[in-house]
Amino acid sequence: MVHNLRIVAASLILSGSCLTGGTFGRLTTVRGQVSDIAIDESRQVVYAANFTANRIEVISIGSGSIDGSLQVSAQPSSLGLSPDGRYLVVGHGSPLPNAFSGVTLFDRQLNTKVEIATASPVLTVSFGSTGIALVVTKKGFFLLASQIGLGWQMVPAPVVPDATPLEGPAPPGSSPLDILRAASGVSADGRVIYAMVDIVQPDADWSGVMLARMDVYVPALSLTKFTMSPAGGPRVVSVDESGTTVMASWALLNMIPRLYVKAQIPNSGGEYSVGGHAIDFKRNVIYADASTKAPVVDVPALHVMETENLAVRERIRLPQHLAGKSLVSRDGSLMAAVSQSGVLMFRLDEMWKAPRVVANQEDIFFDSAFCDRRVTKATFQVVDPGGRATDFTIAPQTGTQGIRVYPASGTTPATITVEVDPNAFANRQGTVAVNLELKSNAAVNIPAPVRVLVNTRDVDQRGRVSNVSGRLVDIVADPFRERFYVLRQDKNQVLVFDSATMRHIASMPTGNTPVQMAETTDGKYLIVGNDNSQVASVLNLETLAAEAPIEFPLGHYPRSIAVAGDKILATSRSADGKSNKVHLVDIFNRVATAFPTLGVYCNQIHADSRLSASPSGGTVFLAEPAAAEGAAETGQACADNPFAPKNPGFLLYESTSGTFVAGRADMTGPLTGVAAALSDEMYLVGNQILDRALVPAVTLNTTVGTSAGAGGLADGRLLRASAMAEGPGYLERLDLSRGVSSLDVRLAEAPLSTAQTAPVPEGLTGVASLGFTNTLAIQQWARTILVLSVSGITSVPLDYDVPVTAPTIESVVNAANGRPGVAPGGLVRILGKGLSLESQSASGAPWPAVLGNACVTVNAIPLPLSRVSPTEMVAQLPFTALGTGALAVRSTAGISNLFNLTISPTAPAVFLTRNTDVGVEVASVVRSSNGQMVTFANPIRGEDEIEIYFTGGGIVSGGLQPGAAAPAEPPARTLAPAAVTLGGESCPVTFSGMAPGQVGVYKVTASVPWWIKSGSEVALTLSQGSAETSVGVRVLGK
Amino acid sequence: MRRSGAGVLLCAAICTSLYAQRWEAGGLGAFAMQPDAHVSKAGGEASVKFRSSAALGAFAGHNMYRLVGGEVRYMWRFGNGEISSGAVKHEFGAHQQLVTYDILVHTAPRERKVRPYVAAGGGVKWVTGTGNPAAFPPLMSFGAFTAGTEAVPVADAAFGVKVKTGGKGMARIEVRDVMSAMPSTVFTAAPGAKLSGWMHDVMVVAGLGWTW
Repeated sequence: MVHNLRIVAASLILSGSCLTGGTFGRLTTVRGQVSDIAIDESRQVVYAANFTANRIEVISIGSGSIDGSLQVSAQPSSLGLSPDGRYLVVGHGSPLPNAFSGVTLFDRQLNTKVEIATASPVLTVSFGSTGIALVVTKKGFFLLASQIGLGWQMVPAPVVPDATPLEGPAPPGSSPLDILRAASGVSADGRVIYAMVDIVQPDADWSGVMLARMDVYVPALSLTKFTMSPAGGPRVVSVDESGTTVMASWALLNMIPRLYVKAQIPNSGGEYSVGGHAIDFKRNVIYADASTKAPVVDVPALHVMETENLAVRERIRLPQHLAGKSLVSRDGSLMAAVSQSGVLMFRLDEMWKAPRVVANQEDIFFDSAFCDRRVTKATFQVVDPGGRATDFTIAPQTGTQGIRVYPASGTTPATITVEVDPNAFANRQGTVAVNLELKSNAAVNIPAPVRVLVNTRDVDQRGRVSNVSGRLVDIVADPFRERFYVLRQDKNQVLVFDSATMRHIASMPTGNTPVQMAETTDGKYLIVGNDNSQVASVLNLETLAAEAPIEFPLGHYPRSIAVAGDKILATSRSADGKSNKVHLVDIFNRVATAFPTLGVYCNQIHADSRLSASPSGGTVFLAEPAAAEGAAETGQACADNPFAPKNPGFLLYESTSGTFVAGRADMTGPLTGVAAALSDEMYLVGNQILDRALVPAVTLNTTVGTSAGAGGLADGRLLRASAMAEGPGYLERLDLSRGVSSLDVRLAEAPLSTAQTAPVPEGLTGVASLGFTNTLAIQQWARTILVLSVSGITSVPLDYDVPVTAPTIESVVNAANGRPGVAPGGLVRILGKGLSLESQSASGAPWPAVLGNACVTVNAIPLPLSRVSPTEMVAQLPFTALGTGALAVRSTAGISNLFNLTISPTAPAVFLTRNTDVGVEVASVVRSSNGQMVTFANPIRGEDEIEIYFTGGGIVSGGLQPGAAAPAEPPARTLAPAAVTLGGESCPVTFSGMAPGQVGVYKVTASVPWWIKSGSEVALTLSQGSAETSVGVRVLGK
Repeated sequence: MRRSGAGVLLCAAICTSLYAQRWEAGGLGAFAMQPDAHVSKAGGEASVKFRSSAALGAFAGHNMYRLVGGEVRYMWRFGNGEISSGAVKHEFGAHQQLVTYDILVHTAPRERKVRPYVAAGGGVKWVTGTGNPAAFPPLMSFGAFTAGTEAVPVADAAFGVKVKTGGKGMARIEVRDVMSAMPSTVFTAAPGAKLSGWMHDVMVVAGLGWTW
């Protein structure tokens, strides 16, 4: 018995149980190599052209099994299905000599077939809505149509390129797509067919790619030739609903009215036989898989991308790479794709119900100052958006200290607690970023890590840090509105913030991998350069929406943008890497044109050059980090101009004359740091100020680390921010006439600069940066300085460096009666000058360790604070403090003198209120019978129960933490017993401990004997151990 | 002779006395006014008093002789305590109860329709403070009222006139001054302050009685 070996092909439903996670998609393995597919929705089958087995496999959509096959006489290279599903056209493009070349037409209704020969192998076939198919052979383009009385006829398409694609048999084992290098696709409405073919034109000595477009109602071809670098793989063509946008290989092309590259897949390795994509117009996304180049880790994953800019929304793990055509069914329920060992099918509605794990926050930010060394916690959720209970594990990067995450595993939904011990980061004085890796056995998505940011800084480090997630690359302050803009590269967005509240209020989409942006002089638009789009985005700042982009010449990716008056300049990275240019942008017509020359210099620059416009808009400064690519080797930047600097060049554009007027190359590269036009007279590169002739004029004192950003002030001084890769940032205000820094203050965290290593891209998300940064912006509206920093944005007031003197401690007394004598757990008043720059009170218990940007320590232990002001601070001593202590105050003005303090085991002191109207100090003693303070009008009487409120009662039971409110049940009792006498008569004590709900306040309850004698000023004495305190009260005896 | 003379005199006295007994009882209504007492300290002075207000009471009298009688009297006097200095005032709830015994000397015998008289006597006044013992700066620097009851001895003097109203009725109107020291517990001077003056409670009293 001969088994039908074709049925051996298994239908595997892969749903997880891999160590690295689940996968999505049902794989039907095929014995052979699949070259093309077609979806027959009426028969609920997928046809797979098995190139090496000379047959068309018929795969059931329902079961995934191969239900049968259609034999063909030669290797099938491509498939096309007529819109009514009746005719299946198989193109034959065998590399073997004497093999049949042509098409086989299967009539699925009558179960007949007919073969039509062609002169050369067929590369690709696609059917349009009118029943006309476009057939591309190695010799040209043909139309296949059924004519009444004549049957199926193949005629040349009206425009036929004189082209000879690559020929020859393929080595055994190579993919059929490598051999053919052709693909086609049709729009969802069936009206427009695109074909992408590699061509060679021997007579023109040109080889490259040709994109053919045919409107089936006007069956004539328009052809566009271009080159692609890297190579044009995956060789797949996907067309949108109307045929105006096509994804060809790794490029998303706008075709109507003009061709330009809207976006391209970043990091693409260009392999022809790895990857695939399809446009899902119902869900407005593109699904794509592609090979990647090092150092990107290659993971077979279906990227769900935005249709406008290929921003990656999510990555769905695949059992294997796609390897060719991918199609979405007309009803949007199914996607089928050629894969490495057969055909992968996806139920798209079920994709979002498949197990997934995501965290509900991208970042967890811990903000603590030097004095606050308590372990802090934060929580976030791990959920399955489909509502399932899906397993997960979560853990910080290997080797991380000071961060504890729990639970480490579980099922969704789950609340994860992150505990940070600031002591582990005590010496960083900045922000440390640690990724929490989220994994799951069952989840089909590749979850993004959660970034934990731990900021530990000394109180003199300035700035308020606002956490903004993502890879931030540029910041612009709007001079017309109370807003600023941040460029988020990993999501292809401009984030809009309100200056006053620092709240994120809107997002606007950009092209792929945005790099830099600039606002037009009229304040109407934001222009954004994109490293993986051949257009610059135009964002309307009134409507906060994207408008038609600015098209750059084919092969040029705009990067740096500068606006000077009515002139807009842009640099571009060229596809070949050696023709990077400066362009003049015409925003009204939305086109950019390369300058023919840059003044007397040729227009060839380094790809990572940065443009910067002066604040007045009179000039634009261009700085190269190194010599233009190619120039160093040849000594010639341009073929027609022997002037070719080997050093990085600086160029100056004058907006009034509309040309480049100066160019120098005096500094040896490579250069890093900040590049900025400070005015029309001064330009900054790193530590060098260049004059208007671009000659180095002033060398600024060296910064700490790398300069990150700079800006000119109205008074002529310069602000400069700089940083090491980690640790604090630095901010200086420089007097340019002397190059002297007025005050080098430390920032709460490091600004983003070229010192930080760019992250390794993940999947098909782009990463790009210029050779110089300027991550500082000055907000005149809010009078603040904004700096892009490790956790997001650090904002500092414009007058941050107003001279202040360090705090001075003059005395420390107990907070009850203002006398010396303090004990553990008691409240103290610290008196002095300049203790804090602002007055602030704690809003409630537990009291914070930092208040008003100031803190107090005793023997380096932070004290909880009740209130602070420049002359007084009220704090609670820790319960562990005993004996001698060194007390110090830290504020943004510096660190105070050390004040030596003697802390006794007990030092009771009754709270007194000096009422100047009454003229006496009123002790905090309350009569329980009426709940009112004992005063002259409310004397103590015999048999009264009184409550005495005091501080300095010493250690209490129950392990109460300093700064925390005392509990009511069980109460925190003093370990040292208390005794009370009134006029010498003993009053039995019924309670001695901390007053419930209060911080640092103790309470003693005592009973007054009935025989107590009257008096207007009777001594009420409270004693603990050897310490005692007395107050005078009025007594009315019986 | 001498023994019988003495007996006659004694008999005459007794007989005269028996013949002169005339009892009287009735109710009283009054309006009491009190001039200020003063409490002073360095830098200031405050006035202290119990506010003018109504009083109600009852009396029972015995006209032992032709012109002389005795009378016991009970009065309830309303009127909160008050301390003031300048425009600042503080009031404290209070009332007083008064029990006195007076000797009345009339200028006309019992038979007369109109009998002017003068009276003098003494007794006890109970002063009770009932207010909220909350502090009341700044006046509390002078002194404070306190809740509680304090008894103080009083002396009183009065002059008035009784008028027969027909039958056995008797109306009277008088002006009386009840004098005592200021109560030291219900009102206490603050340390450093000194309370001076007597408490004079001047009452205009009207009464209606029944004689038999």
